[in-house]
Amino acid sequence: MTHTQKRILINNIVMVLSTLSAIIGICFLLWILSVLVANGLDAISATIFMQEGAPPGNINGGLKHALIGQLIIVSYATLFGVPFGILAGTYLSEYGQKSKLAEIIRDISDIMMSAPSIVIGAFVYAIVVAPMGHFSGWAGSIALTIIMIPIILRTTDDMLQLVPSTLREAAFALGAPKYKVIIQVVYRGAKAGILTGILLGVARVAGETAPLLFTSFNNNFLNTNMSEPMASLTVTIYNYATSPYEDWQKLGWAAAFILSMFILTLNILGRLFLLKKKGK
Amino acid sequence: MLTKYDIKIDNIKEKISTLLENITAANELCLEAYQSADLAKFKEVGTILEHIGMKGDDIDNEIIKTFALYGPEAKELRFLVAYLKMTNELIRIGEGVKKYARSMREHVTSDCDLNALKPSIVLLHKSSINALKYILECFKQSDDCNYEDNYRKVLVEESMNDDLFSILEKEILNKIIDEKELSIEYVRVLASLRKLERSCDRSVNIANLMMYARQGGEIRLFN
Amino acid sequence: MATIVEINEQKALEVKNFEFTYAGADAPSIKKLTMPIARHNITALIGPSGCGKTTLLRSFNRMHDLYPGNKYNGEILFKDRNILIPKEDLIKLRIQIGMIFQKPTAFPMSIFDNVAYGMRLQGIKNKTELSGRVEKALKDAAIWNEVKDRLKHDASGLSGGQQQRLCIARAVAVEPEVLLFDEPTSALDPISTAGIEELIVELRERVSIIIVTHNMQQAARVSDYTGFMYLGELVELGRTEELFVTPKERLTEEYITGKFG
Repeated sequence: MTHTQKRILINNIVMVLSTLSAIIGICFLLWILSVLVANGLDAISATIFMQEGAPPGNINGGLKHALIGQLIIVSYATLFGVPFGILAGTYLSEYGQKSKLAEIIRDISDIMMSAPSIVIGAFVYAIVVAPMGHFSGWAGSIALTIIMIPIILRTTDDMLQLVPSTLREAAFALGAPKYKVIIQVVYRGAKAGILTGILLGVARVAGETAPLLFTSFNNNFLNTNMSEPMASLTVTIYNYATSPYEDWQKLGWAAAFILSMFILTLNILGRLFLLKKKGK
Repeated sequence: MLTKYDIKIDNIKEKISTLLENITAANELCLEAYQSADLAKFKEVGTILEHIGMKGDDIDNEIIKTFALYGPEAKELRFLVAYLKMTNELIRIGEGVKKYARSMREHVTSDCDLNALKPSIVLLHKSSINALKYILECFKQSDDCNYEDNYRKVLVEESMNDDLFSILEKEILNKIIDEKELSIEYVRVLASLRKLERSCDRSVNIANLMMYARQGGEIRLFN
Repeated sequence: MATIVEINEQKALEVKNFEFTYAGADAPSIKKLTMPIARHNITALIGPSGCGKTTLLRSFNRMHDLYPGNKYNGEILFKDRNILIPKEDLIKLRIQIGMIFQKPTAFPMSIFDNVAYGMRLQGIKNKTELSGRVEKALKDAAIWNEVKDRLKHDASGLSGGQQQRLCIARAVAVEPEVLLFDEPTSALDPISTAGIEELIVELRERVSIIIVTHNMQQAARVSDYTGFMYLGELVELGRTEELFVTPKERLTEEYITGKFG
C-alpha cells in the first residue's frame, strides 16, 4: 500500500471511530430521556402540581411541596450566588488580572468546583445546622450558593477576559473612570457569556441532591419558612424512588421527569442564547 | 473635496501655464517690436523674461516634492514627468526669445538691409508664436481641449517653420553674395533667426510630451 | 542629538527629556526624547517596529497608567502644564487629548450611544444638545448620511471603515484639542484607508493631530511634519516636504529608501 493510501485509510478509520463514539454517547442520552419520559409522563397529572405530599397509599399525593421548596431554595441560592460570583469574577478579570492573589483565587475556585457536593453539605451542616440546632431552608440555600459561586466566578472571569483590551482602552481614552468602563462597556460586551454562565450555574445547582440531604433535609409537607426544613425535588426523588410504595415510586418518576426537563430546558436556552449572540 | 495631491498638481499646472503665457506674450511683443522697429519694446521683452530661470527651478522643485510625497503612478506619473521635461524646453524657448530680442535690436540698427527679408522674417516669427499658442490652448482648456487636433497643428506649423527658414537661408545667402562686406553681420542675423526655428522645434517636443502624458506608452522626443 | 526643525508656530505639545520604562524592564524604551508638536498641524511618527513611536503616543494621554508599574521621567507640556505629574487629572486630560486605535473599537451599543458616550461621561444629559452634537460629530466624520436612518441600531453592524469613522466621530464629539491616531488604517482596505486619510487632513483645521504609522507613504501623503524614531530616540523631525526629499540624517535616509525596517 502506498504512503498516501495508508494515510487515507487511517483518516477514514479515525473518522469512523469518532463518529461511532459520538453516536454511542447520543444513544445513551436518548435512552435516559426515553426511560424518563416513558415512566414519568404517565405519572404526570394536574394533581401533582396542586397537591402536597401525602402518605403512601393516599391518592391525593402530589409534588407541590417539593416543587415550591425547590424553587425557593434555588432562588435564594441564585440571589446570593450570582452577585457574589459576578463580582468575584469581575475582580479577577479587571483588577487582579495576573497577580498572585488572583491566580490563587482561580486555583481555589477550580478546586471548589470539583469538590464532592456531599462534602459541602457536611460543611454547611457543621457551620449552620449544628449551631441552629435543626435543619433549615437557609442551610440548603447556603450549600447551593457555595456550589454555585465558583461556577459563576469562572465563567464571568473567562467571559470578561474575552472582551478585547482595546475596547477598554477606548473607553478610558474618552475619559471614563474604571467602574464605568466595567459596567458600561465590558459587561455589555460580555453580557451573553455571563448570562449563559448564570443559566448553566443554576441548572447545575438545581440538580444537586447530596448537599441538601443534611442541610434542608426534607419536608413531607409544604413549608415556605426558610428557618424550617424544606422539601426539595431532588431529595424527594431520592426518598420516593427508594421507598417500597408503588404510588410514591410513580411520583418519584414524575419528579425526576420534571426536574430533567427543567434542567434540559435551561441548558438548551443557555446554549441557544450564546449561539444567537455569536451569530449576530 | 480635492486631496492634497490634486491641489499640488493644479498648482504645478497653473505655474507652467503662466510661464507659457508669459513667454508667448513676450514673443508677440518681440514681433511687434520688430514690425514697428520700436527699440524700447525689444528691451521690455528682456524685462518680462528676466526671471524665468528661477520660475523654472521653482516648478521643478515642486514637481520633485510631489514625487517624493505622493509616489504617483500611471497617468499621474506621466504627467509629472512630462511637466518636468516641459519646463526645460519652455525655459530654453524663453531664453531663446530673450536673446533674439537682444540681437534683433542690434540688427535693425545695423547696416543690413532687412526690409527685403521682412515678410519672411515676420512669417517665421508668427509661425513660432502660433506653435506656442496651440500648446497654451491645451493648457488653458485642460480636458475640453482636442489634443490630437492641436498636436497636428503644431506639427504642421513646425513643418511650415522649417520651410520658411530654408527660404530665409537662401535669401540671406543671396544678400551675402551681393553685400560681401556685411557677410559677418548677415551670418549673425541668420544665427538669431535660427533661435526662432529652434523654438518651434522645442514646441514640438512639448507637444510630444503632452501626447505622451495623455496617451502613455514611452517617451519619444527624438525620432 | 536629534536634528529638529525649528517650529515657529504655536505648539500643541512639547516633549522635554522624556524617558519611559515599561514595568519590569531593565532599560527605558524611550530615551531622553525632546520634541515639539505644532498646533493645528499633522505630525507623523515613523520608524521601524519597536522604535517607540506607539509608546510615545500612548504617553500623551497617559494610557500606560492603565497597567501598573510603568515609569515616566521628564516632561510633556500641554497647555503650560506638565501632564506627567501624578496629580494630573487623567479624566480631564483624556477629554482634551483623544485617541483612535488600530482596530476599530465600536462599543457594544447603538451608533447614537457610541457617539454620545464621551459627552454623557461629562454629564451632558439634555437630549437636544446630545442629538445636535452627535449629528455634528457624525457629519465631521463624513458618515452622517450612511447612518442617519439607523442611529439606534447596534454599531457592530457597520463595516470596518465605517466603524473607524464612528470611533473618530466619538472622539471629536467631546471637542478635544489633540487627537492621537495609532496606525488608524492598518486594519482597513485601501479604499477605506483613503477615506480616513482624507478625513484626517480635514480634521486638522480644528485639532492638532499626531499619527503613528508604519506606512511611510501614508506619512508622506498626510502629514505636515514627520518625526523619525529609532531604538527609542528621535532621530529627526522635519517638515514632511523637506524630509522626504532631503533628509538631514543618514539614518533617516536609509529608512526612507527602504534599507532597513
